[in-house]
Formats: sequence, C-alpha cells, structure tokens
Amino acid sequence: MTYSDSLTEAAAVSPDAGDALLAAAVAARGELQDEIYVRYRRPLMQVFLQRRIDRDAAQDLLQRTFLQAIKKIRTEGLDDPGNLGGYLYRTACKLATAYWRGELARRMDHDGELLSNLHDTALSLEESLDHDLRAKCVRELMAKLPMARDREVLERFYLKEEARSAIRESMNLTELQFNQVLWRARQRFAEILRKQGFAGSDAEAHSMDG
Amino acid sequence: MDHIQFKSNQTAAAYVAHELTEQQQEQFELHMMGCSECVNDVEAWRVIKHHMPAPQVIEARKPFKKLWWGGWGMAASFLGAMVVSGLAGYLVSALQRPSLDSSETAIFNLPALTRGADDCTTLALAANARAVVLRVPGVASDHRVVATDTDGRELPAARYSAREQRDGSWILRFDADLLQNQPARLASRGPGGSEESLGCVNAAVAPPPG
Repeated sequence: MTYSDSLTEAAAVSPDAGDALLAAAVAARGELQDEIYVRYRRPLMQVFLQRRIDRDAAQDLLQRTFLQAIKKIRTEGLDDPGNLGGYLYRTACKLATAYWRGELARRMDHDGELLSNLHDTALSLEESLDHDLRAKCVRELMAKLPMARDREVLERFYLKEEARSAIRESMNLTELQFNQVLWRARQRFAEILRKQGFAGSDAEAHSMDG
Repeated sequence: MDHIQFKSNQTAAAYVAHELTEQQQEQFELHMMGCSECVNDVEAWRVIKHHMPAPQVIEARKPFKKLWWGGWGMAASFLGAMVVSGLAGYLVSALQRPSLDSSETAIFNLPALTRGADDCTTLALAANARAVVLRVPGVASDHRVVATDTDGRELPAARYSAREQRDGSWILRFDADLLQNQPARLASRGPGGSEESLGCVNAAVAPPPG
C-alpha cells in the first residue's frame, strides 16, 4: 500500500480524520508542519516532564520527536496517518527511554530547514508566566484555600508525595471528598490565573461548571 | 476511559503526582495528545506541585486580611490607648495637684506669731501664683495642723492639704485664690481635742521687689 492509499483509507475509516489530513498536508506542504507543532508540543512536553526530564533536555527531545515525525511523513508516510498523535507519543516515549539510557548524543543535529518554521503562539502556562509569578500564584492559592484540610491534602499529595490512599485514610476522606478538594483547588487556581491574564485557565473553569 | 471520566477522577492531578499505573498513564497521555483541556489541567497541577511552598512559608506569607473598616484597627487602638492614658494621667495629676510650674507656687515659712492670734499676716504673691505652700515648724509630735475659717470650721479638703514631714514640721498647701478671698487660721490640734492657735494668714498679689 502506498502512502496515498493508506491516507485515503485512514481518512475513510478513522474517526480522527484531522490527523490524517494533517499528515498529508505536512507531506505535501512543509509549512503546515507548524500545525503539528502547535497541536502536539504541549502534551508532548508533559510526557517528557512526567519522566523527570528537565525542561531544557525535554525541549531538545521535543525537537527530535517532531523531526523524526516530519521526516517519516515526508519519506515513508505513517502506517496509520489517522493516529499521528499516537505516533508522536510513541516516538516521544522511545526518545525519553533512550535519553535515560544515555543513548542520545548530548546535542542533536538540528535540521534547520525542517525546524525553521516551528514556532508557536499558544504558550503553555509555564511559558506564559515567569517563575516568580507562578510561585506567587501558588502561594495565593494555598492562602485562599478555605479549609486547612484542603491545604494539608495538597501539601501531602504534592510536597511530601504521599499516596492518595494514605492521605485519605489518615484524614478520613472518601475518594469523592478527596477529588472534591482537588477540584476546588483547581477551580481557585484557574481564577487566580485568570486574574493574571492567563487565558488558558478559562476552558477548564467553564468545563468543570457543567 | 473518556474525557468525562478523566475529569471527574481528577486524573490530571493524579498523573502529576505519579499516582497512575503504567497502563493508566499511557491511556491518559494518549488522551492528552488530543485534549487541550487536560493539557491545561496537567500544566496547572505541575505548576502547583513545582511551586508548592513549605508549610511554614505558607503560614508566614499568609496575606493580611483587610477588614471591612479598612485595616486601621492597630493604629486606631494605639491612638485610643494614647488618648485614654493621657486623659487618665491628666485626671490623676489634677486630683493629686500640683503639677505646677515653680513660678506658680509661693513658698513661705509660717510667720512668727508676733501679734494676736486674730491678726492675719498677708503673704505677698506673684500675679500668676496658683498655690501657697506654708511650712509650719515646731508642732508637737502628737498634734496635727489644721486650717479653719474665721468661724472655726476646717477649710474644705479640696482647697487645702496638710502633711507632716520627717523633721516634724508640717507642710500646708492652699489654693492661692482661697487665701486671697479669705484668711486661714492655723491651729495645732492635740489628741484630746486641745487646740493651740498658730496664727492667721491670707494672701494678696504684690509687685516684685525692687
């Protein structure tokens, strides 16, 4: 099956036809690779950060991920163009593993032509607010939590990294109550971020209301 | 697992806390590749986790809660305390008398009784004199000195006072205007009611000598 065939088939049967079209567009017109980057940069960054890779190294791995994907699309095409996100995710996971095994060169050889157009106006939370402002927002959140219990849950969950089950047991909280604490904290944090002009906080606040 | 389940389970918070199993994490990360709302959640929780202040910092930086009356309570209570203590001090000093300038007090030794007991010695006062202090030496140890009006009634305690000193002499203090308006007869009273006249004094404003 040729790339065109697979693309046609994927577009016909895949529920995520957007990915397939995007992959085809990237193969045909290099400037549309920006759209891949905008769509997947932030979740892929979280994949790297989740694997305890520092931000600079994660940025490097992110570039490698997109480079591999774009080369793959342009040369061989994807086996399942409708699952571009899945392909990028698997590539990122493999690169993260290789990073921890020390299998990657310290610095990658950037492909200037491929990456020259990779820029993004949709900034992540960490990119939008500087370090001090983020810290201030979190302090404000902790100060504004209505109950000492909520503060204790967050401290134990994130600062002391205690297991949820241990926290629930010692504080006599049900799973629902525990999730409500998290939900309240997330809501308040969204409000604080909105006051700082971070637009990305709007979506989740509204969606949680329903 | 669909988006609603991820949201209701606070999966983003658990993900950042490394609470998910390998399989759950993979499911969520694949979902996140196509869900900007969950990416927002993960970014927010990661910022909260990264900037979570130590408990003592939270306590120390807890913002001052501004009260409805504007937060001027400390200043107002301090001012109030100053006013009350000032007023109390004034009243006590007024009761005790004298908080007199030395130029407002005229001090005399009891003039020698050279004439009859009814003949009054006029004490020369400065125009601004407010008090007259009279030292009465040679009073018997079991006697006390009293001041009476011409009818023999003791002068009101509010207008004069008498006290014994260590050397056995007595100090009598009069309001200057009292002595300017009426004479004071001085007597030494014994325990049995016996009374010895010490003389009579009154006061008048006189120009300075020379």
